[in-house]
Amino acid sequence: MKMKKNKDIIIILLSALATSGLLGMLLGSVPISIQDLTAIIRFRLSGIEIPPNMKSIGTILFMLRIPRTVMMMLTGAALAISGASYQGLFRNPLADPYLIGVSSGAGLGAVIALSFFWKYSRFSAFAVPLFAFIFALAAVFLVFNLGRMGGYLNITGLLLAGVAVNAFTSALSSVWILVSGLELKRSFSWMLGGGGIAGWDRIFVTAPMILIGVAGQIRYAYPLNILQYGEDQALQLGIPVNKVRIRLIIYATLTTAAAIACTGVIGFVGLIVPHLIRIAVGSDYRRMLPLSLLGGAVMLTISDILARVILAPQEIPVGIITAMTGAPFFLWILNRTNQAKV
Amino acid sequence: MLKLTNVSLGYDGHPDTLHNISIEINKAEMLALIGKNGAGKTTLLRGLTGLLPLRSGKITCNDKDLASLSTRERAQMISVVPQAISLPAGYTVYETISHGRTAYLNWYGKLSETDRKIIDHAVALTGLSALTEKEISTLSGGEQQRVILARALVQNAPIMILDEPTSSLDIHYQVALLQLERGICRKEGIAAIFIIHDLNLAARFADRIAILHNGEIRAVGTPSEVLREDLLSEVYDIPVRVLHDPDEGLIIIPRTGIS
Repeated sequence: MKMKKNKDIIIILLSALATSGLLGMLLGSVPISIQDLTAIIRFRLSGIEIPPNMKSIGTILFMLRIPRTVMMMLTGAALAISGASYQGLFRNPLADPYLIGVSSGAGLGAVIALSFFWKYSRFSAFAVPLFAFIFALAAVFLVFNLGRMGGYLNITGLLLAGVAVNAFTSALSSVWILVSGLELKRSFSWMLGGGGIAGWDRIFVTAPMILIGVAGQIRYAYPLNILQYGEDQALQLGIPVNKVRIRLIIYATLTTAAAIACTGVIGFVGLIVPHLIRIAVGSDYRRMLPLSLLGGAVMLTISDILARVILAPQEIPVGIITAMTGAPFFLWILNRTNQAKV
Repeated sequence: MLKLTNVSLGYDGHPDTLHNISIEINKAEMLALIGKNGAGKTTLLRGLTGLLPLRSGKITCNDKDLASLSTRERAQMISVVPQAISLPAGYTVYETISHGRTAYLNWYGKLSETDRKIIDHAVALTGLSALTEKEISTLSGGEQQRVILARALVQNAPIMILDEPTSSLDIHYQVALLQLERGICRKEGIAAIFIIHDLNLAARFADRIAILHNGEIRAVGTPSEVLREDLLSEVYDIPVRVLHDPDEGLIIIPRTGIS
């Protein structure tokens, strides 16, 4: 029964991913018809030169739409799987990379790297994710230690520490943008999360980082199940708790930082998706992590399409769309968690 | 089987909580650990399970030094039934029990045929056969306690430690659980150490009882050797009456002095 349900969910998610991916290529300020899309792909595959009247559509497709859609899928997948891992690590359904300050930490690192290496775009493609990773790691360790009240990490401690780290790193990012002379509009739209600066070079640098981070998280999916019993019992059941925790934090943070370096600070994907997946398939992280990966890709691809079409031809940063759907969802979970405690 | 030699344990920045503890537990034996709150029962348990490093002394299991074992090897040697806990939701009874096999599984936690046989055996022993597909949070407290016992059983460890296993159960389940535990110890040859506050249950189910007092073992022996009025009154700091019932054995009653 359970197996069949899992299969159904995989099929639903894959179909949703294919559909949203297709729409992501077709919709935008210049709509592309499905006939044009298939024609251009046919030209490309058969090696025939694209006719002059379709060249501009070809450029939009291969240089903008496809990399942007791929990037949204990668970022959504990365944020959702990391969100699921953080929730398991902190044993808390509200641990989202954005809420616990990891995203803003990564954002600060990325902004600093951008201010130094903006002009050298080749180099910045490497420096941005690297700086993002280092700062995100610092943020997560800070939240983890600040949030421990009396040795235990509870919801209040976690959220307070997350809010503090978030506010502090976001403020630092803003100050840095102002004093370093980074292009304001571009920087702020990046901080709100948007795919406008997408490009193949960025994908080629960040995709391997995301792949390593994802593989590492899936490697520790089973120990993550056992960590849900708490530190003492996990040890008594044979899990080397500290080793597993540190590695998982590193892999999840690497994944988040790479995603953020790619598309900017996008919140709530890592909160909503794992939560819905948990409701659908239960708490086993061996199922939850891969399914969150798919779900995250779907959610962000759809959010990005909405970001492009709602106020077309103007674009809204995709982070605003995820925040607008995510914030009420967050309150709903908070309410549910509190009710479960009473 | 399990041997503690001059074991001292304590917490950072504090003097020894337990000092020079030496005791041996044999195969298929049930040893009850009793004593006042703060006597060091939980500290001893933490030392045994490796959560607290020893300050001095040695703990061996079948002549193997526990300090030299990895987390995984230790879990194959000692299983623990913790105090009443809330189990993570979203798992079935079978999945929860299977987590006891963690120390034998690969990185993905894949169960082999042998693992499944061991789990089925534990399920049968604890009478959970009808509940295996139920979601864990739908079970009653008594059923959940049996699930935790089954989870400890599938660890296939020669030593089982039970930390106040009956504290959240009504008298029916208290007796049922300890009866079950005793049967399992005898049948599987497991040595069990159980921390317990109810002296009547200790008298009824333990082969031997050890009393912890002021960081040391004050007395150890069979229930009739240890559960004496003078000793219990001294250790618990309250007058205690011990009666001998022909059917039930020892009955311990604290005297309140209120008539």
